[in-house]
Amino acid sequence: MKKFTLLIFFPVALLSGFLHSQGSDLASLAAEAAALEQELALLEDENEIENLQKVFGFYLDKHQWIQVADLFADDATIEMGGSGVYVGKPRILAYLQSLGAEGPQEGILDDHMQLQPVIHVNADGTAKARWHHFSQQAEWGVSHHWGAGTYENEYIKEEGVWKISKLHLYSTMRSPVDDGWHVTALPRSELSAELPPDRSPSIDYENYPAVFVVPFHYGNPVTDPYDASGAFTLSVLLSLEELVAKIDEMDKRLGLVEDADEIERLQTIYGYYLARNQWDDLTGIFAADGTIEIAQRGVYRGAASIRRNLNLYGVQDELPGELHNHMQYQPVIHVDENGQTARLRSRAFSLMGTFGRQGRFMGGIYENIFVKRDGQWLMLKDQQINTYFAGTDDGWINITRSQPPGITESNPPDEPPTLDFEMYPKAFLPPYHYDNPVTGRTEVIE
Amino acid sequence: MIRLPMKLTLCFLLPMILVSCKDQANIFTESSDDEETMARLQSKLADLESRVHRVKDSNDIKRLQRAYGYYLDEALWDELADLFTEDATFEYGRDGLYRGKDRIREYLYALGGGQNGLSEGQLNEHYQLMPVITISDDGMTAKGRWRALILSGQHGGEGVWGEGPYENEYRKENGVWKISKVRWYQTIMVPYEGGWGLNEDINKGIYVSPLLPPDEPQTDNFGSWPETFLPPFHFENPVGRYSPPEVSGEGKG
Repeated sequence: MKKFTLLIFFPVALLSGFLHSQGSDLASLAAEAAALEQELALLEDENEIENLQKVFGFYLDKHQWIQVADLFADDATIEMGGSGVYVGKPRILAYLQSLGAEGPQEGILDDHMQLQPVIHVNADGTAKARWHHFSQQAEWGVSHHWGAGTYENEYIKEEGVWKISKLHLYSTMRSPVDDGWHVTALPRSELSAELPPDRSPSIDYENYPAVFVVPFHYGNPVTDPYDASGAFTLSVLLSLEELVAKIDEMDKRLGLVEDADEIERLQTIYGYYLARNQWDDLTGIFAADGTIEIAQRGVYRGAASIRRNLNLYGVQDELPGELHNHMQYQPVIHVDENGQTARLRSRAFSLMGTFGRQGRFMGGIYENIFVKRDGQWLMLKDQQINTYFAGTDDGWINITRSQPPGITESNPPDEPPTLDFEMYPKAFLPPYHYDNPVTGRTEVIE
Repeated sequence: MIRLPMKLTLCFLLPMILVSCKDQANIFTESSDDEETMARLQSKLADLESRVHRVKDSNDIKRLQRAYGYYLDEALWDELADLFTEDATFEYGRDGLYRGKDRIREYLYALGGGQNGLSEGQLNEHYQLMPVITISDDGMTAKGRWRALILSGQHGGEGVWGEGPYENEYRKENGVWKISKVRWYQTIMVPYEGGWGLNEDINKGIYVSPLLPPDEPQTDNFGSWPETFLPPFHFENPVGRYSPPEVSGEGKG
């Protein structure tokens, strides 16, 4: 027990110059620690908000309306395109339910990628963020569309949990796949007659081909940097013991933030190596006991098998006239409290093909596991659950083959596939490694 | 919030010399230990501070490059040019290298046909994706690999799919991160109809250099789709490459 910082608050402390200087040192160190903890908390907040919006996106894709609505604060608002503003959680749920039946449906593709976040956390437990929206939507045999837009959203921290307080998707481009945006560009959505909004659209604008710049919540980052400073509440530590404990705690928390960064970096690097058939480099980022399981081809375990699996996708480093670009998006990362393992859900949107034949788009979900060994993060499990393969000109409207590629007899896996799934137009919900970040509700898939 | 430890408060409220206060005794007898503890805490806190700032720097750089993307989408050239250092370089596709903020502004305006902002019917989406950020040891410069996915074109004209990676550099000036180098490698820029399967690159990576010659030629030569090229990485494999076992024919059981 060495609670001598308090000495400085008592005249008696002045009896000892030594004590006084010790007290001041501790006081200033404690103040420094408190200020740093605020900076650390902002980094944690940013990561949580990033996860929240990406989780929103994955639920939205699969029409999990209850899960989506639960990510909002009680008095939140939602405004998508020109549909007007719905106020409060029950109305948000009602609006979402007006868009279709609950859960993934056969014949429906509704991928909404959440990209390019610019997040600013304020001192008062609120935050704003701009995101890009890029969508692939289809109703089998009826229609298929590209969509683009920008979110300008707001978030609030309630009892330690970040929630969406305002979601505003400025949809700006919508075009049928058969024509492309240069031929047919559709207007933004209209007010629903069945479920009129609580408020009219907050802003009047027209979709592409008109010109419209979605308002920014921030100024130019160089000439007008965002001012997040404000009335942070600093907790003042009193004792050396408390300070020791606080610094240890911060060390651990910061470690988890760094871990999440490293995992996102590793998954991204995976994407760059995959895009260029850099098979030895790619194999190198796996743990010795790692596994790869792509497109129901089965499980390949260990470096030699992983390297052998990669031969299925082409010859190492050779890509004459070939595009093999598996872009990695929207990682939702959860690092275990001990900082030794982590799980990631993310998605790929891929541009693939060989020059001279129709190219293909591929969409899919990753549910991966990472492990830290000797301070180094490694890929322990890489699992790709494909959503579709679609010809660039054919799109999704008439896709008939829902079976993923499956096992290759000439280069077989070590173990059979761990998950049975079918691609669009079949409905499938790839299992989540996480529960709803607000309610803790686990999705029960029937 | 200041919390008063009851025990200690009592120590001082009582006549101090007469009362034996265990805590206070410790302060004197263990002062050298405390000094050591303080020194250790000081250095640990300094280490934490530099680590926090590295993560913050990385986040700032991501925001900066993403802000770049949102401005590029809207052809907001002045906002875009303001993101660069005075001595920055800009090299887009196979157009060659433009040096200095003023030349970058000139280049960007040339891209937009002399106009700030899009005109009716123009689509110019440039999504900034897949950051791999590496900050220098002194925390004053950084490098970043990114991938751009591009949906562009002119309503009533041509639609275009584009894609390619950036290898950019950043510098911190007066506490603010700026872009010091943009290098964008065009992998594809192909018509919507037929995509990359049936079309060669529409412009071979050449945008405005015939009208506005660059200050220096292209720094690394690469062709255009369907030729393929591996833009150099600014980072090493974070773990290490796999090397196949020496003995061959030792198939896995």
